[in-house]
Amino acid sequence: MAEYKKTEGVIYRCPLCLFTLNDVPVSEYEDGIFRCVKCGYNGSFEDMAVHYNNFRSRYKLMEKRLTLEEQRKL
Amino acid sequence: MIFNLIHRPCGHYESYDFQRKCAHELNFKTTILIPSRQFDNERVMESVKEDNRNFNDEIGIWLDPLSDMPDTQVWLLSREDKVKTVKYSVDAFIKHFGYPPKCVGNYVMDSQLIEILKDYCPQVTTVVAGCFEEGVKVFHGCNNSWYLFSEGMSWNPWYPSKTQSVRPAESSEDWAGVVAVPHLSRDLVLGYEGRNDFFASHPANIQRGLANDGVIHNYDYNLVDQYRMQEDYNNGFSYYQIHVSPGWFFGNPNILDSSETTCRLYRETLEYLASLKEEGKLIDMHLSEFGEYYKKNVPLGTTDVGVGKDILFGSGKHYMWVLNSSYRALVDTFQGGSVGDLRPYIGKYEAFTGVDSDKPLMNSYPYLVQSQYRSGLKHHHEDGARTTLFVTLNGETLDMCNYPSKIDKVQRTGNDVRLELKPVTMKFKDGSVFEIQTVYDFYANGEIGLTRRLLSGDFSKAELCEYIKACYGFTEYPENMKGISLLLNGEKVADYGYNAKIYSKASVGSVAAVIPAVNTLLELKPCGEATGSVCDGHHFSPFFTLKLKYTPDKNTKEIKSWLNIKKQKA
Repeated sequence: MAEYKKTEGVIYRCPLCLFTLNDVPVSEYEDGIFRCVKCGYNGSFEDMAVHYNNFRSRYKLMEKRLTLEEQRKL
Repeated sequence: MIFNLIHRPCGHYESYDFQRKCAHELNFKTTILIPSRQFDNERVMESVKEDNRNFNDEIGIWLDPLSDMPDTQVWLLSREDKVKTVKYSVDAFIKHFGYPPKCVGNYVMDSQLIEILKDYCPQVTTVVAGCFEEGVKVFHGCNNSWYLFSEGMSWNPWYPSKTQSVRPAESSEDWAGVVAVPHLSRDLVLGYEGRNDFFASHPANIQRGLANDGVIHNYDYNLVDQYRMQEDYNNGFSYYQIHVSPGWFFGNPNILDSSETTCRLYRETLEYLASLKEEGKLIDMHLSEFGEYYKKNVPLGTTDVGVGKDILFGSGKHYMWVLNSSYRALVDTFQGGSVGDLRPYIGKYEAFTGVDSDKPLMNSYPYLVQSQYRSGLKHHHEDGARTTLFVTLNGETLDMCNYPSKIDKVQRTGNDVRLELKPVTMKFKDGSVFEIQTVYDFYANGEIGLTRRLLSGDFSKAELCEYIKACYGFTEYPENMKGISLLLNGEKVADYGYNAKIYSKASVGSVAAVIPAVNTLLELKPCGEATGSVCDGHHFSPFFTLKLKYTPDKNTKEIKSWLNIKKQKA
């Protein structure tokens, strides 16, 4: 799974809102915790990274190359 | 497959230079659409002229509101501002290049904007004019702040009508005079089930959807091949477009991956397309070149078939889209072959967008059925907009929507299309087992034949009910249903009154509803003996329902109904 590094300038999205397919930017507060204005999410960057990888788990075919021939047979 | 590569330069110079390098090293014909506000950017214009001179890149215009206008989108401007934008942009183009443009675009071009453009610049032949199935889901997905409504259109190029730009023209008199292409190529499954913006021919947006794992990005290639597969159903024709603006590449704040990864994914996707070109499986064209090709090779009125198979979630689902000048229909085979989306082009609903419009935001074409937005099968009170077959035996009723199927065969005869689904097996509590196969015949004149082949089981004690629960709308919210008429045998029996009344007739000829707001009559007609019902709804289930009940005998091999969509004002 992807390894994320906290990067200056990136707009991080609330991972809980992302699960509902809503992109809601979160802000990092002075205590280093990211909080969402739309829902109750609160967590560290590392916690968000875990959620982002969990979000990906829905894509069961993400690692699979499906050629034209294979798609014809699906 | 025909491929358009489109660039849209701006002040992200490093990114734009990277894109130019990719395109030219891979020897792709490239079309540069210059945003209206970039004509004064000397550095951008110099690079555009250089690429036009050295690589023969085609040049056109990306229409944007001018700097003294609201910071909005071009299709949402007033008529006056649309005229100013078009005039400024075309004049600036001619001043720089000495000739008028042939191609122009934006995410949406409504009918008013296309009319203004053609009036001022009749030389325009090809436009980028809409985003397949972008609307409600992306509005939600951007925290209700992306006011782009372009649903109900084709995933493929089309001939836009004069009166509503996503509706395909019915005739040359009805045609706005340009070939339109969609902005990007969108997943034919996930455009319906998910966000069309994540799942499109835009590698950086696929990254935004987290559908890559670092440099592993099979979905980019798989989507190309999904579109190559459409040649099997469309007389060898398919179309793909990559169109990524420069701001996505270096330090885009919406992407978690490094810029190196983003550039690599874009480049590798183009390299795959280049390899297809080398193998003779892909032809790249400039945008207006494609417009000419389309006019010569795809006559107005040609039916489009889009077969979507899930290539990301692993659900195994199949969908089939059929689009002609009478309607756009989507068959959801996972829900037993239910119609999941139905748009009545035949009604020629008229609309434009912008400040002067009664529906200023809405360039989506209205639906009669939309099971994702209007509940469909799964609900908390009553079902919503959908179609199905109910099978009742000894007091037990089974709903075919609960029986997944898949596409078995697709056959075209001219502009008519036959879809055969794999049979489904329905098991009752008393041990009875029925095997039923659904066959659709899509005719370009607005008629849809719906056949249920009764393959095995004793149907002589069963009742089969064809069921359509429909409405009209644009979004998830109900529209006012007053004005709709309910008909039996072509005669009005009631005005829609939110009173849940049911009107039935034995040995019925047809059951129907007339929806004046979209100039459409939706009708179910039996072939053979059936009892018909047309049902009013209520405010906690604001739909109308059409039903045909059949009682087969032991010799009945199939039941057939017609789902007809006709133009009718009131």
